[in-house]
Amino acid sequence: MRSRRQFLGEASCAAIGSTSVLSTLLNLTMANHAAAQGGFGGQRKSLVCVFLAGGCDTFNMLIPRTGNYAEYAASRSNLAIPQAQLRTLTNTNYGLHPSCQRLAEMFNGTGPGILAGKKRVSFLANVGTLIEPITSKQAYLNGSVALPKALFSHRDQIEQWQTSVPQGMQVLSGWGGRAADVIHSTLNTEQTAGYYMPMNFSVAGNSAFQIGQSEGQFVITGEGALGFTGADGNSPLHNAKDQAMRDIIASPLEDHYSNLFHRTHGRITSNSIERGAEFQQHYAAPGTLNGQNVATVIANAPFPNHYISGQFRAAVKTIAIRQQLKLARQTLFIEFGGWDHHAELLENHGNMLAVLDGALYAFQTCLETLGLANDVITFTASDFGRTLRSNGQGTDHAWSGNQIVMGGPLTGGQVRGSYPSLVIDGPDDIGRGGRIFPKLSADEYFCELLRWFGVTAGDMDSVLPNIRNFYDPASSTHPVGFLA
Amino acid sequence: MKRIRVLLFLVLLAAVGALLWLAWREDAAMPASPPPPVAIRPTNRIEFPVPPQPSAAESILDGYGDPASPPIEDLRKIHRVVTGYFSVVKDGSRHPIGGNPDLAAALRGDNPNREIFVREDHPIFGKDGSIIDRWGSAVVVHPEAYRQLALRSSGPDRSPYTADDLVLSPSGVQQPAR
Repeated sequence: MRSRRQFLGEASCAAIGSTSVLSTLLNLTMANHAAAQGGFGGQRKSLVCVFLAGGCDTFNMLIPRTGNYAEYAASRSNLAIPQAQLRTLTNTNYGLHPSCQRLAEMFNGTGPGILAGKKRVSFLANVGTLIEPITSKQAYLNGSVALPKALFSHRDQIEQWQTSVPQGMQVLSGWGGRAADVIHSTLNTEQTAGYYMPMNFSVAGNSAFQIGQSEGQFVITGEGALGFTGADGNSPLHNAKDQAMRDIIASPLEDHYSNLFHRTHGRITSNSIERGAEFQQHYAAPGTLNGQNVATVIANAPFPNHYISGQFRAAVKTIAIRQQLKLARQTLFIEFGGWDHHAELLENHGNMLAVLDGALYAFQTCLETLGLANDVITFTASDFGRTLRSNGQGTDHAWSGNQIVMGGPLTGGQVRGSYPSLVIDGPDDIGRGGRIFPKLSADEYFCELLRWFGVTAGDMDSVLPNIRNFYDPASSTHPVGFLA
Repeated sequence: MKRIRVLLFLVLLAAVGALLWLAWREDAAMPASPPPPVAIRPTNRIEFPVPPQPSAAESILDGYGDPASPPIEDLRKIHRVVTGYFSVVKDGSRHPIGGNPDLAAALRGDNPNREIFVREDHPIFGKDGSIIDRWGSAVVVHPEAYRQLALRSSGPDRSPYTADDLVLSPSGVQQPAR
């Protein structure tokens, strides 16, 4: 016997999975000519996903500083961070890994310069992929709750964080993409008279996160638009190749593309080239914003010397040109890989946290300087948390973890969610060396972001098909509470 | 009339004799005694029905750790067993495999089908129940995706993630160490 709630949830999933490719292509052409309604209310908003690929050991990032520190130290044994080295998060019982100085400052409001006095960071404790709430360890063990597919495996969990449909999908689409499906034509209302620019930008290649049914993702590099004929748009060779591509797609060949599918494909390709050129024009010369030269602000920001900084710089620039791109809403996807620390965790994890700390700080500094801080929320996600028990040199695959949210719209300086017991084989450990099960679902996390972003309560089910298992989208209160 | 009765009696006798002979033949085809039951550790874990000996997975593991064979063959045998396991066990939500302890338990019967693939007294398992390589170290089982497990033996130095490791990708191809 299935409840109405279960039926609706499953029906939504089935609907997502059964849309045909042809239907998708037709929607792609139609959705962006749809009559624009509503408006963006004057505020432009950007959601920036920083995906920590590999499964970040976040129970060694956000750590009990008082009270339960002994429990933490016992579970983590040789991997425990000494209590005296933790960065204090004021008014909480928690501390941060010593590599996270800037994050602690942005949490406490003690940052330097333009961040002085501003609490821009909060943490979410014990969050993970869930289909429905797990009320107790016993509920997991006796199999009385629906569980995500293939827990503890990289690719499946990455996919589930990005789709927010952990029971799996027949046709993959991400929650950022589905949000674009319902938002783009209604909130990006400046895009009229045939102008079209996608709202989902990835600076880290293709990802499931931004793939929708009608909306896709626009992949860029640090140099800007990634054209069909290469990223460099200024060389004579590139221009020649680009022109050749346009000529191939142009009308003479349309006769040969006799069916709807081929004609649609040709039109999409042609549009992509045009969108790339349009984007590149603004990206190459971002100009000034609120009296600040964008390129100079980015150049002066203290980004660490690491490849990830290139992605953050590109994200700043893409946000800074949103008005020229006629975008009231945009998402950006950044990926920082290498967190799969089965060995040498202490050194490598610490070094990577320092890079993340510095990059987030520099990114936020740019946004503050350019007057964009109140329009942008940056949030982290990762495959999974890791086992509490040390395997000798590192940790293995587990489930729940902790995440960072950052931005002006937040009530900063909070640890939200329910921080678990870190006792191995304790009430929150489902076994095999400290695998913590989540008390807060990724759906609740994303729902709060999407409410701010402009997804209505009525559309929330189509973006997050499982949300009603955790939260009523029509509720007047936020599901997690990290937003003001 | 009397002759007919005698003939009927002889036919009946022959039929009974044939039946007895057939029954004796079937008994002779059976093994002398059933295989000894595998000792189950005295724990509170669920007990699973023991399969006829040897199971298909155990046959694949024949010669596991044999010094006469290259060490990478051990990982290849595990890989073949894993391939067989996933062809039989289809439920991807229960009994997820996140590492060696999960795979070891699954092969011993802690899987959705409650099927024992490898008995717990098989030499593939160490004293703590984990899957071990020929040097006695736990094999690193790394799930890249559902049904796609990379396998790593720590090699002669018994320390994982060093140059002498033996690594098999989820597709069964040997990879360079590190």
